[in-house]
Amino acid sequence: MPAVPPAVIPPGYHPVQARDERGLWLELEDYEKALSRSALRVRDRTLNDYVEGLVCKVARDYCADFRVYVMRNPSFNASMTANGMMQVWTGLLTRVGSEDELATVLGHEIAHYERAHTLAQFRKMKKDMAVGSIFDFGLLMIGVPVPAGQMTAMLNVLAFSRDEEQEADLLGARLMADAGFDPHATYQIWRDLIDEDAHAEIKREAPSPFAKTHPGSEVRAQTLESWVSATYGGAAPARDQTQFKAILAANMDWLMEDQIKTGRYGRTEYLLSRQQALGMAPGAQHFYRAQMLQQRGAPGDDAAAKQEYELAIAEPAAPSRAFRNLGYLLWKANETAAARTQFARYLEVEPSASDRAMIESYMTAEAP
Amino acid sequence: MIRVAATLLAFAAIAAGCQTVEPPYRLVSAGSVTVGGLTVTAGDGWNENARTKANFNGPGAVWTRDGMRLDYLIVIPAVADGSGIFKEPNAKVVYPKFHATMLPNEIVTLIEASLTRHVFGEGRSVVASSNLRPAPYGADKGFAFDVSVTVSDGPDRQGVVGGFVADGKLNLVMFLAAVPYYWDKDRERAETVIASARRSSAG
Repeated sequence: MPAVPPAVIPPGYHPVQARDERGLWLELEDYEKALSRSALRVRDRTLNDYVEGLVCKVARDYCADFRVYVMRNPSFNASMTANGMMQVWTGLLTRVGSEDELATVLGHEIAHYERAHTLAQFRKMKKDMAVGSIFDFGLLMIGVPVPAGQMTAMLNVLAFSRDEEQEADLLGARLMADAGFDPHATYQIWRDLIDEDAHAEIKREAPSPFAKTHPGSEVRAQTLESWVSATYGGAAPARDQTQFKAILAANMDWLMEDQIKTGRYGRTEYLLSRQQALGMAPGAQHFYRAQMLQQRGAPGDDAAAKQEYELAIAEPAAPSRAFRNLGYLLWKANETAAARTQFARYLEVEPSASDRAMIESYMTAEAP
Repeated sequence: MIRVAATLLAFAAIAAGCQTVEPPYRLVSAGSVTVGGLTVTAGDGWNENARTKANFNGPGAVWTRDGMRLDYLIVIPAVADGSGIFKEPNAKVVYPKFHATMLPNEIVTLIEASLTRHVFGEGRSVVASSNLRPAPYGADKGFAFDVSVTVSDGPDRQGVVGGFVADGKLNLVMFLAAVPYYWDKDRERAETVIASARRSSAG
């Protein structure tokens, strides 16, 4: 049974001796300034407070060492730098099945910090490259001046070793379990990712950045399952997920819109099924599935989307866009009168819709 | 992230221009200009970036007034059923495709996805649309809508897209510029070019 490694960085740590480490912190501080101003940073206070609260709960004495940036990006990823700057991509929120799974990823990143893994990778990479600064390398890869993008690319190049990942898995699991989260979530999240990969329509598609730097998902799930079961015993009592579900529900509209726009339809279908299990309102489920089908545009998708929109508008929580989109699909199917009925319902619910002129043009146009 | 970087490199000429080599510009003559089967009326001050032609599946043109980092107008004629509006730089990635049966609302989604995937970068930008409205292009009934692009680094963009489907093919003209100055400065000029779009054969 592998042992849980101890933290090597104490709470409140700030480098005072190593020149390269101080230099790294200074460069990271510059990057962090740019990141904090990024237009893609999610600024919703409730969502940020929630994620920051979870980080503090898991990090405990280290809480003050971390700044959390929730970034609008539909991929599954989280990252931590040597100076305690944590990024959480919104694709992570779309994918976690519980607060405990979210705490797993946060705990994993906190463990990387406490074990000083980023600094170790930085030193290794500098040694390997021998010439130039790591930031010049970022510039070469991107080729265009996008400062935060360069650093993001650099951070992704800093893939941790298998040993470092295992250390972060085990220390992260202990941190989240000590904070009262269900440690069995630590391997479940890997199984969820494996499941999602299996549902991808394009198998050759690149895995998520998180998965790319975390090889051997099934092996890791097995290692964690063995360790958690031996350390904490069997299944823990289910924790209350009310706040987690409320946060997801409040943000699901744009989270799911971003996911659908990725064009990864197999994954989107899978994620919708998971959200259904988490209690997404049926009207919203049908609406997002219809949008996904309509965007995919494979043979039969228009008919299937029409059916989903019809189910959506029969539910109380259907977005008003469902009436409009159903209207368009009915128009395409030459069901002109039915289309006009749905267009009228849309304008009734959204009288100042920005596309009112277009909708009205269909209401008065000749049948196709 | 490296895959995204490669995609952006392929489109660097559109997204931000090349960092070290100035692309070859050619002054666009004021008056009627035909790109493939699409004719637009250009006013003064547009410059064509010839290096961007490789980004299209067929004929296409990218013009700018103050440089590619600040504004660009893209003319894409006759996108065929089953094709993307831009050339696909990565065979391992599925890109959004045009279908001849698409209605304007679906074309809006296609263009949002295409700009995200090809030009601004997935995870680096959020492209949103509004004000979808009917717009005539000669005898062809078409549409126009507004676009806003939030990017992770650099200025946000505003844009306007006009287009129509004729003979089962999509014809597009779109303009994007950094806000507020360049968008405010050239919006009207660009809208005039977009509104002038006509099928060449239709006169």
